[in-house]
Amino acid sequence: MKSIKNKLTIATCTLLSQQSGNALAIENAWEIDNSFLYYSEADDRVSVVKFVAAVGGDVSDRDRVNIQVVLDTMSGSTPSGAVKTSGGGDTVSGASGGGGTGVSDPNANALVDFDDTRLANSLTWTHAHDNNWSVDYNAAVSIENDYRSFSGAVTVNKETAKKDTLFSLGLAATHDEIFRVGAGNTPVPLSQIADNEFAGEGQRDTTDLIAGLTHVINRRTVAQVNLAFSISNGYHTDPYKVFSVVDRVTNIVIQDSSYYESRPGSRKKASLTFKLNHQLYPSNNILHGSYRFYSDDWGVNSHTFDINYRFNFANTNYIEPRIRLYQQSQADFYQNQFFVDDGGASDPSVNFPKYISADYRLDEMTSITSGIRYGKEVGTDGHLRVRLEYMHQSFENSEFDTNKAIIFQIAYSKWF
Amino acid sequence: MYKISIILICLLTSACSTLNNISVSEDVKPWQKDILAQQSMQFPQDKMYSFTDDHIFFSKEASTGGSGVGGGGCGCN
Repeated sequence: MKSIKNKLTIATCTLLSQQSGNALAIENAWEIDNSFLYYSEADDRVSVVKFVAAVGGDVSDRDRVNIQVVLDTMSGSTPSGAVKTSGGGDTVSGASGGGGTGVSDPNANALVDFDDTRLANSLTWTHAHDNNWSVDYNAAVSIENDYRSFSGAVTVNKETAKKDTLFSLGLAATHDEIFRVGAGNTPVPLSQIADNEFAGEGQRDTTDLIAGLTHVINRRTVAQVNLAFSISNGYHTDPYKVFSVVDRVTNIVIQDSSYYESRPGSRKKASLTFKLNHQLYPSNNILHGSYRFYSDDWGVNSHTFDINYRFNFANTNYIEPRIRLYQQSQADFYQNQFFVDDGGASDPSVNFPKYISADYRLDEMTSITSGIRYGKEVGTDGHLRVRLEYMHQSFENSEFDTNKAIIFQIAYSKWF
Repeated sequence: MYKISIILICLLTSACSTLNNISVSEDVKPWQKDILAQQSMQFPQDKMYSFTDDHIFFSKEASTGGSGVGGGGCGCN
């Protein structure tokens, strides 16, 4: 009996020591993760090619560093906000980062060409103060032809002694600079595009706060709740977006009546997000689900459901169908066009509200994204993932009532 | 907006309480965390997908946030 007890003790110690060794090996590992993404909208609208390269690893027993570089190239055409019947003018100096070379027609096209390049870098340093406390420090820079963004963030993470609950508190500050490509300025809100009235570059400061709780429910289930707030002050207007003035009776666009949009100088956002991961028994397939409620003081409320289900095959392959449902209400100041009663006989701008935007993203919207993901373990500690998804957006009032896009992504990560 | 913030905080508090008390909840010992330690059981399950999704939906919808802070913005269309 004593012999059996000794053997069991030795076997247990061996198992525990092996597990400990593996855990240490993982903690000390470096990881690279690279991705190529292609996003393409129907009808020759926006196309995006995105490369992401990330590398992370431990630089000491308590410190981990992650560096990420992103390169985006964007091109195609995007709705300007003008209605389709507004005549065959040129573009409104491009939609973001390029395209048109200047305003030459007082009526903007409903679609404007653009091209842009974005380079973004971020550095995250995680310091573990002890077994239960850690702090993430993040700095990020994003540069485009017509946009610069600088941000810093600190997230404090506290685990309970049993390590079944994690509390997180994050604070971020972001400074954005917005301007039109080439000129480096922004149009005067509510000014007629033919008048060429411009101001200096726009600046915006944003503070984000997030409080999160992650809790282990049982061996196969973990849940997370996040409460997030955001306050931004400064320039929120899109310097390329316009709106048209339309006769209410004839529904005809008034000649020479494209105006630059105007948005409020501040925005407050709040959201509550629930997430749940559950591994089913005995299939070992995994269900991922999330729901987010969002609300802001522009009048936008939204609901987002995101569900995917992972079918595991032999522990090295998986297929994961995914569906995401999104619905939002329109912003208070959204209008697809500004109607006048007198056919433009008088200056319509005297009756403009303080804020008006025809940006389709502020319209009432329903969006469904569905697709499939495939993943496979490759070689030693390598992980290949591919996904193909289709996004269909439906708008209630916008000039273009739908936006359809495919998303293709391939990513490969490897531990060293 | 203020009212919504208060409601969301109340919802968060009740959600935290619910998470702790739901009937399927059980004490998980350290040696029982093999499943929970898998990458597919983390938040997010795939950082790369999460990062690129955030960018896509940030560009095409009016709502943002809820997963984390930091990372910088863009003037996307």
